[in-house]
Amino acid sequence: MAQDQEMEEYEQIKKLLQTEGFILFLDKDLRTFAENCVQDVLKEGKVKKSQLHSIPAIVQAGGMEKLLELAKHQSEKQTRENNKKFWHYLKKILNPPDNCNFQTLSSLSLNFMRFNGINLPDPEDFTEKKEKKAVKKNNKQLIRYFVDSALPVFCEHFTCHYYYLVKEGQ
Amino acid sequence: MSNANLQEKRLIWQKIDLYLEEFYPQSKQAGQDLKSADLEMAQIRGLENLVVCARRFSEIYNYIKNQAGKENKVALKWRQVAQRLLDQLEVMENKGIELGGEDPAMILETKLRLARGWIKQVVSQYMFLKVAPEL
Repeated sequence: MAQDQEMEEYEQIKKLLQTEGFILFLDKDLRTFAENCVQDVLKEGKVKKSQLHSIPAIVQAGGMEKLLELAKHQSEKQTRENNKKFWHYLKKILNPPDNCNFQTLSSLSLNFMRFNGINLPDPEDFTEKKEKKAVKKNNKQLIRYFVDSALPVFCEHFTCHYYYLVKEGQ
Repeated sequence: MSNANLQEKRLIWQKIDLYLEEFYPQSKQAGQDLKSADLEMAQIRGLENLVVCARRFSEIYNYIKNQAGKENKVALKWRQVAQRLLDQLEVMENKGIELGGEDPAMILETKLRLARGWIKQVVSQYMFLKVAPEL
């Protein structure tokens, strides 16, 4: 029964990803979010443009999983403070902690799904710890499924806006 | 596919045409800017082709930002015109949202139609000034 429910939710999201509503989401909401992210990054200081060069290829090759790996690796390896902060920021908005109070790619996606009638079960509605954990895990996977489709476009919006704002010599 | 029927679409298309007429002086200014920045025909055609082929409105924004954000001599020229182009595109986008109503498909189509009408005006002015700079 639970598996049927899961399949149904995946199907609903799959259908949503094929609608013009989703394209509009990529066009406007996601772009606005990406531009705000660029502003947040620049508040902490400029990142070397070369740090961003690898992102599109990584996302193309391995989606969110690979991008998070890259972000984790870079945030540990980087010695320049601004670069470190950038990768930490990226990790934060792509893989936020539970109950965070800032907008992330997941929360933006979740709101869009809700707006289109896809309401994921609330883990708090379950009293059993095991059930709660299973619902949380399932929700995370469903949101990840949606975000994986939006991620390449998010990266496009982010990098283009960043390159535009941080022009040579500025 | 849009849910609007053909009559509703025609009404929106008329409004698009009227709006582009009103906007024409500003489009001409953008064309003038492109000429003054000394951008080559290849660059202009690149932009025009992108606008004509774009499936998402934001592809147009990102193209201009990308061109202006590069680290080469041509980017210096793009930087002279980018902000005006982006501002005008934003106007087109907002108008598209206003005219498109509640239907996402109609909003997308309207935004793109506005952008395509706009770029024709801009490019025409650029080409006119290229051959008749004294005018």
